[in-house]
Amino acid sequence: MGAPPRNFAWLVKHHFGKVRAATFAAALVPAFCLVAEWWTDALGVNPLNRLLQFTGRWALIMLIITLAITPVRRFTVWLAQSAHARYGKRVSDWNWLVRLRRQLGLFTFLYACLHLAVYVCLDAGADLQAIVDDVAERPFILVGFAAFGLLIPLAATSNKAAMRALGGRAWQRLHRLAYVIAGLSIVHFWLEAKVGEFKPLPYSMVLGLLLLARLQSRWGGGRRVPENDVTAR
Amino acid sequence: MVPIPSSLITPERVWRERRLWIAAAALGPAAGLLGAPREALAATDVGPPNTLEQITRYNNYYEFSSNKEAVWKLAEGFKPTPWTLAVEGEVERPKTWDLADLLKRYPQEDRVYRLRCVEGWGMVVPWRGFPLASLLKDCAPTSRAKFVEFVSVNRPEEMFGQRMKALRWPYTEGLRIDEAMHPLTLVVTGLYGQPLPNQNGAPLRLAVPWKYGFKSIKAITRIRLVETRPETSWQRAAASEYGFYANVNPDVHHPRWSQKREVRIGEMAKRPTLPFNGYADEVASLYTGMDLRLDY
Repeated sequence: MGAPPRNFAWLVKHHFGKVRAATFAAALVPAFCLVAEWWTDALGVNPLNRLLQFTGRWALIMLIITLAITPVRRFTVWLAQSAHARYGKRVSDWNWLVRLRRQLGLFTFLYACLHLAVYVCLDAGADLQAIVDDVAERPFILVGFAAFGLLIPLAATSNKAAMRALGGRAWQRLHRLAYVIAGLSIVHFWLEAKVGEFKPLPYSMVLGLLLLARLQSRWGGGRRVPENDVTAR
Repeated sequence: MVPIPSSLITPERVWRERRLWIAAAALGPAAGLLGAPREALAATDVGPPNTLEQITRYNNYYEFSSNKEAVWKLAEGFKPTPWTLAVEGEVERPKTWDLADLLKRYPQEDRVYRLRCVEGWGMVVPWRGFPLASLLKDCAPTSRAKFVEFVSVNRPEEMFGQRMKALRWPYTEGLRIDEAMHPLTLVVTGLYGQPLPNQNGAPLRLAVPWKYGFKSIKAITRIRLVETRPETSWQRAAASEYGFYANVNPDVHHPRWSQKREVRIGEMAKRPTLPFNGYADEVASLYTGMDLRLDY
């Protein structure tokens, strides 16, 4: 047997610790940027608004990246298979992306926590009555709390022990809630957007595409790529 | 939940101090002028004024953009001169003023007012201007003049935001005649003793400090006294969210912004919003007998 080909897939597989660490560092970059802005007095004229918008925006971006992993992987598998069938070339697929997904999901939770912390501590002044009033008066805050509430069980079960305890199938079913959370986040964003502003539009479109990809893979024709056993590590 | 360490909250005080420093520096010669009318007109302490930088870099001015931090830049190409102001409708002496004549006719005074935006933030602004009442009295309103309609300028070539139809252009606003005649209602011509910057509504705007900021129309070209309540731009866009009176009122909800509290620009956390933005002693009597939760 000769040495395995040292292609991209091999590199990733043999240095996966570094890939994971690099992803971890990259996901922290926005948070560090925000802290740097705070320390250098560069949050702008309305710092509270900047903190709220920035943390909310990044929670949504992290969620979108997390949800994009399966569609991107499916696409690359399809690409690899068709290239192989057509040209006899082996193109590595990107199945390893799945192994980053839980970590990215936890970063979604981190940015959502920061978003909630800024709201509770600075906007609502850590006053429970103010928060209760807000939920009653402003529907988008209620929707935001719902999205955050659903994130909690997902974050709590994003570890090997919980995966094993639940079993792969139940765990997967539970984590499909990520799509519900994404929907709620988008509704939260649109309800908060003021007249004549379309800031949530790009996020809505990307999420719409991801949802379509998900539905297509479920009900659409074409070859079905077998699901990896997510509990396998 | 991640608690915010207190070390990160400290900059609030630093911010406040910086603001005071700049305010003091900018005020310099004008400080004497500012003192007297402020004491005379506002029994409540409005707090230290915001810096010129804050006031001129954070502007809710949809004619240019809905992005408050972009307005100052987009407003650079706006030409506030030459300018005319027409006072017409139910008046015995309608008149079209040239801006320079108007400034000569009505002596300017400096007044430090609170400004509360409907979007949940506030500032303290040292305006310069004259009472709207002086201008209206000179035109002799007839007995049919029950309301005053204000019309802003329509120049999509100079005002980028007007190319979008988020609101009906030109922007229109309105006041009841007694609100318009109230001594607090100011025709603003300047800021920090200088002519009004474009992004703040040059060359003429209103300051109606007990109402949400959108009532204080900018770049006014026409004042029409009318018998029936005029429809305002924001009422037309979303009548359930933006009422005709739009008095600052913590008891009337808005679907997007809390009206119970506000962030004072320069501060990190929110503070409670006061009824009539702190001017209740001066203006609450205008509304006796009205349910302001219905007539919001």
